Amino acid sequence: MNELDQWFTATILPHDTALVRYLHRAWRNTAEIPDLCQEIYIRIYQSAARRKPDSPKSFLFATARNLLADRARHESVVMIDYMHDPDALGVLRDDLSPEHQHEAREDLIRIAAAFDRLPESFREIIWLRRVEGLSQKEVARRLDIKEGTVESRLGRALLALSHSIAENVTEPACGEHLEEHEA
Amino acid sequence: MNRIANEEAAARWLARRNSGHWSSGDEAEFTAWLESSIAHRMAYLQLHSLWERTAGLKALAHDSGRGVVPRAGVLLTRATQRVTRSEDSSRETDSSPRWRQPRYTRAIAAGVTTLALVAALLTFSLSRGDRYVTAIGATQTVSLQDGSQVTLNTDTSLRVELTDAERRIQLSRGEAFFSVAPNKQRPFVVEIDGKRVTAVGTQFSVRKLENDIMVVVAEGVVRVELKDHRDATLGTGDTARSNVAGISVTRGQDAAELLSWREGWIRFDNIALSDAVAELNRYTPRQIRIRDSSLDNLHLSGKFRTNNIESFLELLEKGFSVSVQQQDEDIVLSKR
Repeated sequence: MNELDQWFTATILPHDTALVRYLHRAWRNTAEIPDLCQEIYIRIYQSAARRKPDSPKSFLFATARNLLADRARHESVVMIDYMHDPDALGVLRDDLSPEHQHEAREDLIRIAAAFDRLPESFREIIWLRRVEGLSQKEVARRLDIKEGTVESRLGRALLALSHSIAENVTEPACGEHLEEHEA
Repeated sequence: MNRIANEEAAARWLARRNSGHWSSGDEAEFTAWLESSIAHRMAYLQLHSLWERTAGLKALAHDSGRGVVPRAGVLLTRATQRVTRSEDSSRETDSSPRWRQPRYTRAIAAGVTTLALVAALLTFSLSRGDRYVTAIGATQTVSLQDGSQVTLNTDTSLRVELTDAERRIQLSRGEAFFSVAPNKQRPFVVEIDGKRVTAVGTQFSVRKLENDIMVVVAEGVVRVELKDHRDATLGTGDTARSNVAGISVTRGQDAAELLSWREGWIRFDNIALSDAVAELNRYTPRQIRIRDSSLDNLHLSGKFRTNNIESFLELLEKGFSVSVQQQDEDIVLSKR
């Protein structure tokens, strides 16, 4: 990973959930959202290769809004909500540490929830490799399968985990429920 | 669709890169793939970030045991409980201790009894007592023949010698907690480089530092004696630390908190990052190093699992402006 990759991972990707939520609110055709995300990320990355934005989160949502506006111009069907203001959705709050910490917890909850939804064999492979820290070889021995099978299963398991997270971002994270109860 | 194909390719590359088999040919092919399209790169970065974040699941491993994959629904419950708990950590008491007596403890205890019998049959002592050693990150509780119990903390080595006149422990490394069976005729003595910590019937811990020792008394009365016979008497809740000037005693401490390592916890109360790191490093072979001296001023509080350094690092990254990087086997902290 080069320096720009690291910047992108540390600065832009943590807002993934907020971005997907914004797109769900602002764009009717939810099937297009993964592609929109991809397009937004590409724009951000290319722009940051020239010059990194001063406030990445604002830049991310400005880019999202611009893309939606571009798309809407080319669509024959007019999207009523496309200009939905990210500010109005409260996604542009500053990254003060309490919110930051909350996001980290929320992220863990999201991953845990997505993990729970995976089929047994995917849960198993992620657990052994990532939580118990076994090597591919050790996992192969334990499950009595070929190393190549472990490798391809791990790849598919990660992809499934990623999709499982993406499909459920519109549901509030459980942390939010909890905080309401605790208040 | 293009995006889906890219994601699948990214997943294959990620799994391959972490497979333990990665040739220079793979590297060249991967780089070519990554460079050929920015969409490839985006797909890879997203999946790579998720791969990194799945390490956070370690915080939810609890004591389910190795090789036991949690059933569907279990992790989410744990994750949400963890939110409740971390927001309420001040009055947290964990009702189920993390460590259970390892299966071999009983075998060792049985072995101790057998050894003691053999020793009694022989009229002379062939060995100088029994030796107990724990690995880094491990704890172990041993029942002694006199009814006392010893809990060894991480990376600890001690020798037990029970005679009619005295129960003697030689602590050559690390830290141990002693729950001493009362017996006025046979004092219980812990020796560290000529320093002696003596008890009759009580609960206390002794930790060997480079040149000094640290004693925490959970219950009863304990006497600390240096080589030059200077001494101090400690009661419940007292802690003592030997140093060049003698023995410094602090009264009225929360001994249970100071001894929470027995349940697998470590507690920091507004201590410097460097001290917290030194403490955590005792529990893991992977060492944390601080690269920026400007971080020395950072003070933190909190309660962490000794077997879960990740949650500590996660807090540093998310809550403070500290960047955490893996360097070979070590973890390097620098200012972000």
